[in-house]
Amino acid sequence: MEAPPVTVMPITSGTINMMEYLLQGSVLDLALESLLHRLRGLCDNMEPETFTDHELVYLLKGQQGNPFILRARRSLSHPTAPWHLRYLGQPEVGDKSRHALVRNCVDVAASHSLPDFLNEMGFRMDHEFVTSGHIFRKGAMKVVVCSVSRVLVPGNTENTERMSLSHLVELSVLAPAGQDTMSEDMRSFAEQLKPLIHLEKIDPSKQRH
Amino acid sequence: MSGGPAVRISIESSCEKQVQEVDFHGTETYVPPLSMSQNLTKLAQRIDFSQGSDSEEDGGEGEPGDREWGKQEEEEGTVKFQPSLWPWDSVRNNLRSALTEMCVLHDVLSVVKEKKYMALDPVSQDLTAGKTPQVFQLISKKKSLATAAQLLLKGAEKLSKSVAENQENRRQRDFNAELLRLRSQWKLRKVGDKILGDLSYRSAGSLFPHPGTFEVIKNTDIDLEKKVPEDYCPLDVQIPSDLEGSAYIKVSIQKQAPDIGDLGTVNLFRRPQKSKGGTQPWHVKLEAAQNVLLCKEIFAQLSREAVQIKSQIPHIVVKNQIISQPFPGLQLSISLCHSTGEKKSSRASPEKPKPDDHLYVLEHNLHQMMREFHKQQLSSVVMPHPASAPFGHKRLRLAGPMAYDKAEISNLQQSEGLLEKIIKQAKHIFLRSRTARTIDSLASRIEDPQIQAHWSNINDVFESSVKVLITSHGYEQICKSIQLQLNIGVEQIRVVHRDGRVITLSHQEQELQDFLLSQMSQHQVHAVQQLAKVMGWHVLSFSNHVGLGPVESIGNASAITVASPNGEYAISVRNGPESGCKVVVQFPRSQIKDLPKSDVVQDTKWNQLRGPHKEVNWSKMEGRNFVYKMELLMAALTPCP
Amino acid sequence: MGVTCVCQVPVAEGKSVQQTVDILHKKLEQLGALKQGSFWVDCETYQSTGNAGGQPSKLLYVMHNSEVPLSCMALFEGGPCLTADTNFDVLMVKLKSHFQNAKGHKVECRGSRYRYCDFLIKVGTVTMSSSARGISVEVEYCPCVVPGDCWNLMREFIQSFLGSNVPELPTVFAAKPEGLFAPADCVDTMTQYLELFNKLRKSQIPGSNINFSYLTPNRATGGLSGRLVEATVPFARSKKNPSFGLLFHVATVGGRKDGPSCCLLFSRGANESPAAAQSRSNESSGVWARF
Repeated sequence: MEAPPVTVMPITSGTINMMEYLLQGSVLDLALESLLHRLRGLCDNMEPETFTDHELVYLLKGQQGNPFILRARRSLSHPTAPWHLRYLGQPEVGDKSRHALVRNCVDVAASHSLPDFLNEMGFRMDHEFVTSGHIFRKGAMKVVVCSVSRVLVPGNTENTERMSLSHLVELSVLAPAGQDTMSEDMRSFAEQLKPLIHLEKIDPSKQRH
Repeated sequence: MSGGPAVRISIESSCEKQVQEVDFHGTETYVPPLSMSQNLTKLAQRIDFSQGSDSEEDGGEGEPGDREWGKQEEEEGTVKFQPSLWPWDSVRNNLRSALTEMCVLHDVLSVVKEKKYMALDPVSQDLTAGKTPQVFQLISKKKSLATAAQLLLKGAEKLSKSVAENQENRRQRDFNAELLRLRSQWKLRKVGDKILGDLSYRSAGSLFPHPGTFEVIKNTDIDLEKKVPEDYCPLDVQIPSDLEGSAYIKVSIQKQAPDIGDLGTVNLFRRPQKSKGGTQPWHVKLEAAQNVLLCKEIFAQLSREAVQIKSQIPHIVVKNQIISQPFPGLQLSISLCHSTGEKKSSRASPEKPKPDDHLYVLEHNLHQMMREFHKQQLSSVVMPHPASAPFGHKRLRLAGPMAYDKAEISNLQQSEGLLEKIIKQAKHIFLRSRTARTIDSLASRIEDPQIQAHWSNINDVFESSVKVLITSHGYEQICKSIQLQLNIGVEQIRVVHRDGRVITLSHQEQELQDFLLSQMSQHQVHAVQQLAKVMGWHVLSFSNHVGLGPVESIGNASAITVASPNGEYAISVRNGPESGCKVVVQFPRSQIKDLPKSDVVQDTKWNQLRGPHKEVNWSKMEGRNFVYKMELLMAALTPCP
Repeated sequence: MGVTCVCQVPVAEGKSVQQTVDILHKKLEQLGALKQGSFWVDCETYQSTGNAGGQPSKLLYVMHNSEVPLSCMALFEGGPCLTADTNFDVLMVKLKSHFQNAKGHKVECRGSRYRYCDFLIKVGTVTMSSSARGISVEVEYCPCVVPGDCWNLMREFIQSFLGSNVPELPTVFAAKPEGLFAPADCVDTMTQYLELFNKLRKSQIPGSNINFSYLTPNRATGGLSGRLVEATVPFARSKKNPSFGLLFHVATVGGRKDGPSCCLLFSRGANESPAAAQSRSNESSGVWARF
């Protein structure tokens, strides 16, 4: 035998076909405290954590069709943490009775050279923002309560301006495709937050205009 | 009874006109004032006709009181039951009754005057007057006392009732206070009408599947009449039956394998410790149960690892015991001892006289390691940063972008198991104690070169060190040649010699013993060398490992030859770990009388050459040890100046 | 990860690739090195599709290394490089409308891993489209991350088993703005592999896999120089033995004024000896020229 046979194992590894189940809502700053209080009670017994992230949204325009969107995010509070590169697919139409928005999702942890690399690949930054808030966990569910600020001077995360007087609340679960029981859990969790906040499935593609 | 403060009443004159009624609007309707004639009627009505002038009455019969009473009643009856028809009606009635009375009186008097039908006798007034009040007083006193007593009794009853109520209230309050205290230390939640608590270490990072729930019970239906026991507590807890009693993990090392029949029946129970004063009974109970839970978790973890880990000699898990063989012929047993009641502990007590072979250090370490494991579990689950990233092991997230290699990843993924660690620690403990024993037994067996061990006080769980000095008594200052540093590890002992040589010994006891014996034998020769320096003798040759002579079973013999300051005498010493020492003295030729004639060395100058050797009968030499003997010998062979 | 040096070892005179590799293994074992499993490095090439501007699009290489099993390295030649987790491969699948995978350009390097004290030696066979192209030797000196501090030591060590084939200091180290004393990392290793792969892709190894070129009968001439540019086409492969069969390479022929600028190259299957391949080629075609 001269050379070993090529490709005895598939090289593409990683987690294929992960889905994000998402519910969104917003809460006025005035009611934020009571929502956080409620979440502290409902979620897993962990120290509540705050975060400050900087997200850059990149577009790759092809010859035809929609541009390819990638989201690159880094933590400002943990500067040594790896960057997070995220691809989010179109929301699945499928089952109307499903309680949560379901979309394909690829999460990549990447080194700090990510912006340069994306530029080299042909991506161009579309917009950026800074988001900060609280993160909670309940089993596989993640609850992020955050405010969104626009970056006034490109690249300068110090100089920002709040977008609104309310906080964005996202309840999300990452799961392999076809695990619709997840959305059931999410719904019942969202029920428990009901008078404070109504979490709904919001299709971002229909919100464009 | 009149203990209360005097009540003050203020009186106010009513308004001149009488109020007849008050309207809903508040307007008052007054009674119209009386006219002149009405006023006169009113006043006339007030005349008491029955109250005649005293003179008239006194002059009359001796029974005015009775009559008067009767009359008044009569009069009142008429007044009450006959509504007045006209204003002067009552006056007329009174006058009429007065007339009737007068007529009756008149008739009575006329009858008495006749003395035919009726006679008047004097009534003994004193007697009746003196007696009746006394009886009456007694009765009234009795009556008033009775009422007073009744009042007192009533009050007492009221008081006792309120006290009982208070107590009940307090118990209720006590329960709540206790519950609050319980809540501050234990996790509680309400399910239906029950209060359930959580004993498990899950919130601390434990993965043990035992639910570990306990129930809080209200213990207030205690009999009030009886004396409340001292340790009474309105709150009680009910723990799962499998967590009752006390438990501990026992780690021990046995030298020989016990009968297989004995396996798994290690049952040595310690008496539950008396609870310290001041702590709540439920707290003691819960802590004991939690300890049982932790012991169970440790044992479960160890058993799981014992089954999973592949070792040369498989670990045995039998009932409540895990048996492992760290070294051949040595058995490490870890057992879970759980006593659920008094009965069993009493049964186990006859076995008590057994020597206590607990390895408390290891038991403690097991607990500590379990908690470390918990902590690791807890700290490994952290929130992702940036927040959009998925949950996961924080450091595994770094593995991709930071290009961790295999070694780093395997470091992250799994640390050594509990069982592996504890076996390693047990090995080390065993090796350390056996090393100590080896050194001690050598020190006590062999007197001449003395062996001293200086143990360091601070050890690692896997490594400790001891400094071994071999000296001769009385010559500690000059004979410091052998200083050994023994680093005792898990599997082996590393010996660092003073000159920097490193020798690795295995866990076999014989190796260390042989090594020390050979070092001790070398020490003697080194001591001679040192002594020679002090005594002014010259070292002619020195060898740690002599290639001549009988072969030693342990190590090599060492030898030295020293010459006296003037060169006349020479002493040769050969010392072997097994063969012992042999000392030979070489004399100058001149001192030997029966020197065999030689053809070669005939000139007198050759007399200065040293001649044949003679062995010294060393055991007959005077002196308490080898070096002292040697000193004496050297002194004897050194000519006096 | 320490400082690594990747170099190409020429196939010994009169020996096949595997024989040369065996010789290297023997040398290492004689040295006292211990075999510690195997390793692989692979490289996929992607080409951007949406390049409207007309300037030649840069190739994107996505590489994996068994030494860092959870990572995925994406590189542009001479440009920025990204280290990411293996989900990056999934992302590339999503990006397939914008970046096309040049299947034929897939390069792999597999072999054994040896440890000698602090050195880690990996001897690998570089294969492209199931044909062995050359031999790579990677030497890593684990305790040090600064190339300037240990290069001489490494050089001396490499000399002990490679003899005269000692490589020069890898250009990745010298090219850094901080010079030789910047810490080396995984990307440096992958850059070296990429350089090696690209070198092997452009060249051919005499006597190994590409032996003959088939030209049109009337244009059969010797002494042509050319460059292999296109993917191999698996031909006549049986399902039972996928590595069996003849493979065609399309090669451009440079420097020609007339005639076709393109020719077909035969390469033998992985399990065939060169002699068998040659005879088969001779049977099936007319004129052969040494290429």
